[in-house]
Amino acid sequence: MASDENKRFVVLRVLNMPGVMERIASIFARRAINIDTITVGMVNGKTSEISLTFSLPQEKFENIVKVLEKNPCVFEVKIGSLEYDVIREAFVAVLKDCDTSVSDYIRVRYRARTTLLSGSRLLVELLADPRVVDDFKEEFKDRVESFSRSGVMIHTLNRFRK
Amino acid sequence: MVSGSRLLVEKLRENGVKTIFGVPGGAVLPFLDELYKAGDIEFILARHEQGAAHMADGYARATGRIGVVVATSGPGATNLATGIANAYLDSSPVLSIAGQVATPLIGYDGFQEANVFSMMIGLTKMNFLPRDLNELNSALENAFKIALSGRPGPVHIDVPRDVQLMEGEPDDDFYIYSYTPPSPSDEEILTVSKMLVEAERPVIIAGGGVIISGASSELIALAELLNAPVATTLMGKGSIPEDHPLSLGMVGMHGKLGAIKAVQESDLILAVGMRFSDRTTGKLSGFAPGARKIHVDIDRSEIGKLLKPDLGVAGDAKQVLIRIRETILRLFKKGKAATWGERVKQLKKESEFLYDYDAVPVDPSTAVRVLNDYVKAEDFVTTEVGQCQMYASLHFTAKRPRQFISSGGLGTMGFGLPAAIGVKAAFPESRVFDIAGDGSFFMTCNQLPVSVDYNLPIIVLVLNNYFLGMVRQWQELFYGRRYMAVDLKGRADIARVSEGFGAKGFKVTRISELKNALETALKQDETTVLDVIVAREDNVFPMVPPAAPLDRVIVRR
Repeated sequence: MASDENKRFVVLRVLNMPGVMERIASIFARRAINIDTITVGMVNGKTSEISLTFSLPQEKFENIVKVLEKNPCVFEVKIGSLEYDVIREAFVAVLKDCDTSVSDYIRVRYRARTTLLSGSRLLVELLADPRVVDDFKEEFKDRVESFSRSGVMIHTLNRFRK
Repeated sequence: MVSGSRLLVEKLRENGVKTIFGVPGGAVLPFLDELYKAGDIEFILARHEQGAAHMADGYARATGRIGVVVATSGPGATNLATGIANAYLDSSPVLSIAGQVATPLIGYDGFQEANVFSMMIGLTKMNFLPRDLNELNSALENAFKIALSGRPGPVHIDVPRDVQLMEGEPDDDFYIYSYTPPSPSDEEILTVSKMLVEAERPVIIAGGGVIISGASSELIALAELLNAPVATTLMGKGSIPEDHPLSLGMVGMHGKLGAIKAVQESDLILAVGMRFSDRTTGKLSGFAPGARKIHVDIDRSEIGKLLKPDLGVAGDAKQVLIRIRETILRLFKKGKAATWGERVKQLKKESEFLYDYDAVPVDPSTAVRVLNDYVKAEDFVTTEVGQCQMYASLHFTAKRPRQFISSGGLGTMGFGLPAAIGVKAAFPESRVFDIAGDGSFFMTCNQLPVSVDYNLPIIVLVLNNYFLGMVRQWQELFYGRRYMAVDLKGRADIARVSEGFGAKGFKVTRISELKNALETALKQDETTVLDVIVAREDNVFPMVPPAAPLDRVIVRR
């Protein structure tokens, strides 16, 4: 994920109104751009924040940012980067064949919350950089019984665009 | 206390709307009843919602004010789609209002329910589905602002039937869309000015943005200062009077030869309010290959979208042109393009056409040339789409902005006739001509009774070759003359069909008859259709083959 230079992290402050998600999604759909992750949170009654990740070459990315900026539903467009901003994803998994030593390892190595379940299963709750989530999945790929990922949340620190 | 319908009427009034176009139905009856009670907003009853949308669009393009179209839910609203998409592609401020089933039924397949909200997302600048009076109030307040500000465009509102009937006091605590046009820095203006004065062969390309911005005088003033010729896009036609010595006419796939050559020979292109459509540039890599390019547009997302300019300037055409000219006058006095003028004169000569006034069947270019003499500066010309549109573009001399009204981006056959009705509704004292082909005519001729019923007489000049002419032309030139699904046979008698709709119809087979018919039509001041039988297989030239660079222009067969 991190190695892809075309990977984009964008945060939109938008009107909190029915149909806004579709309006934003259609901007991507008509250009045949796949949205990798999308998360939405309400800022207040009138405003919501959408975090989007997708892959796009620089030239096309510059255009789509301008297209997003001019949309009447969009108040603000911020561009996030893995280097400078806080980019996190929630990840919940159930692992099999685990004992307290695995649990302890995961707690320390990944700063995750762990709960041992019956049948040597381990519930893992992780909030981390999506690259770390990928690392975790890779490391425990033989033990992961089930998992959920939240999609990426982006908190930009000082890189306002509009 | 106010009802949703009452609120709709009040907001239309507040925004100066006196005429609306549309087709009613069950889901807009409360609104119609309120219009009846109000009595001061004229409802022009169209025969199909697509045409109604084109009427509103024509009204908007001719006036620069918002055009309003009303339809019912379901099929009424889906029929609007082509008309609204057409307005969107050409940045025309249209407000479309459709009824919708009552809110409790939305999503439950009520009678005449369709997911119009989703359909309109991709076709509008913005759309709304208000669920109560407050949201309706907010939607209306914002719709006018959004449609008219910056780069204009259509806004659609679906108003559920129960929201039209709701009563209450809407609150004013809502989001108000605000827009500030981008304004370039003094440094940017200075850079543009320097580039312009240093250019030896500058060409200005003016697009529809110049007309929308009301920047024609500024365009002409700058062109004259620099001695820079002006080519236009289809949408920019009329931004400079086409009989001006510096006017080159349209550039592009069916541009004038002089315009194409001037652009290709230029060392600097100043593109204002245009979007480098493939129909204008041909193959982009071969477009004005020796020129540096400056792109001025109010819509930032247009800059660099297709062509990467040497300099992009986001701003309003009028303001930018004024500032460039002032800067040049202050710092440089004038440009270096003095010798370019002679070459431009020569190129303009190459654009000249030979007309054949004796040909039978009629030569379509000559027919437009003849019509030209009857169109006064205050009159309007709309067009359909295809060969007729390109004959119109090449042979009609636009005298002012907003005089020539055509479907550019979407290329909608059937646009011209209803658009002409919309224009006539806005300017009843002006004469309005629609240059049509037989293919386009049959797409919206069902709107002719609207012109008759409301005493909005228009003159339709049908260049009738019994073909879908432009498709046939492509099949001839690029598909070995294998004509497939283009022959319209010509068994339907356009003059008699028009008479059946209550209009006057004339069949014209030679140019002398055309002149007589035009004079009669103008004297009678009634809706008139002139069915001009033209050469069946005439081709529009010049033509740049699709996806080829402009240099590959074909001058004649």
